Amino acid sequence: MSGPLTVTVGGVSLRAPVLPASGTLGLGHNRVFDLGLLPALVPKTVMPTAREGHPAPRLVEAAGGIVNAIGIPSGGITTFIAQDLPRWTAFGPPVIVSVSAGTPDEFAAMVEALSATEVAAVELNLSCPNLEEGGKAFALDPHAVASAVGACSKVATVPLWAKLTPNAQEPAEPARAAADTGAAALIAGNTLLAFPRDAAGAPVLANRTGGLSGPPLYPVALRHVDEIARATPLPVIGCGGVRTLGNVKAMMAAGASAVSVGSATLQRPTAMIDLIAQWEAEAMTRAAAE
Amino acid sequence: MSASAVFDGRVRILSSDTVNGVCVFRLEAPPQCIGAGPGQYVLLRHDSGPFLPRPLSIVSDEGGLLIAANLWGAGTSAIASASVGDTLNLTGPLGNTFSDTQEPLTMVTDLSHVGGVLALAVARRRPDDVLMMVADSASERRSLDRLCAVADVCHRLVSSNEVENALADCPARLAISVKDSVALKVQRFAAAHGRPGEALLHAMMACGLGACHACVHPMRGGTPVLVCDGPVFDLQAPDFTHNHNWVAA
Ligand SMILES: Cc1cc2nc3c(=O)[nH]c(=O)nc-3n(C[C@H](O)[C@H](O)[C@H](O)COP(=O)(O)OP(=O)(O)OC[C@H]3O[C@@H](n4cnc5c(N)ncnc54)[C@H](O)[C@@H]3O)c2cc1C
Ligand SMILES: Cc1cc2nc3c(=O)[nH]c(=O)nc-3n(C[C@H](O)[C@H](O)[C@H](O)COP(=O)(O)O)c2cc1C
Ligand code: FES
Repeated sequence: MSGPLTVTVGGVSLRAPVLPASGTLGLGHNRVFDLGLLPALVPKTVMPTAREGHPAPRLVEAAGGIVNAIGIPSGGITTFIAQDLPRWTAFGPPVIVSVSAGTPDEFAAMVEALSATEVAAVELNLSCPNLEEGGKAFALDPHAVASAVGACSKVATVPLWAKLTPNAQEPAEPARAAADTGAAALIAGNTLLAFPRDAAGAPVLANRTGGLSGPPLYPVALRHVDEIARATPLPVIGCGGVRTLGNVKAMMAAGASAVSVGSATLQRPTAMIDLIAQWEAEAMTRAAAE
Repeated sequence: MSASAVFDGRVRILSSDTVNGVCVFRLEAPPQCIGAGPGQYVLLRHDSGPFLPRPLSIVSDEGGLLIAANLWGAGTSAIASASVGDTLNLTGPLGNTFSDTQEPLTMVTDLSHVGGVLALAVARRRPDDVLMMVADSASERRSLDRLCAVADVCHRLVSSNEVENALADCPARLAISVKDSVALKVQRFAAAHGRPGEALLHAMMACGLGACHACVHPMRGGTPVLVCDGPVFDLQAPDFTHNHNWVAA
């Protein structure tokens, strides 16, 4: 879908620079609004093989946001391509499939399989533990980022987006590693590691630790967008706590080309639809004035 | 959003009354919620409340959406403290319904999980049904008495220790929505006596739409389910032994 406000980010043409964040939008949202209205669709991260995810409780509110330890339940890539992907592509907008894995080879195998489908881009969720390097998240280690993105680049025929982590102290380093090995866009970023406890001090998530998202993550994400945008020439997608048009504009001012919206959609399913309408209305007014 | 099956938007509070820690209120009913069946629920959030909306069952759609919320924490308290005329964000209707059966029914619920089963009793209003309210304190008994008066349904009060005995002379088919410890007793009683039934499950929810995978509930078959894929399931399917659907229940 193209129009007067269309932007191209990381090889994908978008009607507006507002995207769903993986793990927070499902096919069920089509019961609330037409999924075809979104600039792009991003399903939950797919893993190489089927897995259940963490036990309950998986999610808790904390510090005005959410901490989740869902554990990426997945039907596996083969089932996803055969059964789920056609349901997503049927809505029309470009589909960006998020994948994660424990080794660079597993990442590459998923990217190769998805390259033979109609996906517009593949998003590499680099927050998973690297099983070949003692379980440290790929996105925390520039070498691990380079091996995962590099392995995928060799087999990809679609753009690769690398999703980085706010847990990285020096976000520019993994960002450069992804840029140097073939990523077309960078997402800054995923959730921030957290350990929520109840009033008595007991852990509240079955997995003990989880990822913080929503409003408390917003200033952290802004810092990462700023540093990453200055470190690489790639388009950066700002992700973390975006809820208002003001947040979108601040992300753009920090160097983002687009934003991803996650927790705000959990708070209110039509949050993104409203944001897109506000963005478009303002862009039209600006265009008319010029 | 009016063409969608599920409404998402602001609705006005038409009336609201909190007694004994239970808020009974009526909301403007979005067209999608008219005709909602027992077991179906809405996600509600007041602007002053915590980040996520709260799932609450639709008790009835007569004269607006009737909701009965037991006040546990910040989410339900923010809703209860809102004034008549204020607006809440509502997403719904969501979920499936209890089966529509011609057989007489024994319904079992408690204060913390009251809305879904109360809706069933209100929708059926059958003299041969039994609505069993499980209450272990005087204040719980008072709250349940009042709720049943508001909903205009007859009920029987029992303590959690009396549930199995009380079930013996009640209609065979069961519909329950109770805390896990009581649900486990009813499930075992039903299995031992060959009694069919359904259970409305509870879990911490976020999207209500199957996207976030937060609302997982363990099942006896091993593979857990998402509560928002129900919330009504066969009585023998859930695993109630872990009690891990609520943090500090
Ligand atoms: C499908 C569905 C339908 C529901 N319908 C109703 C209804 O009609 N009426 C109603 O009163 N409630 C209903 N609930 C439960 C209701 O959603 C919760 O009680 C509410 O979300 C609590 O929010 P809060 O902010 O008040 O408390 P929170 O601050 O979220 O909770 C405080 C603590 O209280 C405990 N707690 C909260 N709720 C429960 C519970 N139900 N059982 C056991 N422990 C609990 C937990 O330990 C929690 O940590 C329903 C839940 C589901 C999933
Ligand atoms: C319930 C939940 C599930 C998530 N699942 C995934 C996932 O599967 N893959 C992924 O890359 N990110 C996942 N995320 C992270 C989001 O995509 C997003 O990066 C993060 O929540 C920050 O954005 P937000 O503050 O707008 O939510 C999840 C977040 C939440 C809250
Ligand atoms: S509440 Fe999100 S999947 Fe059930």
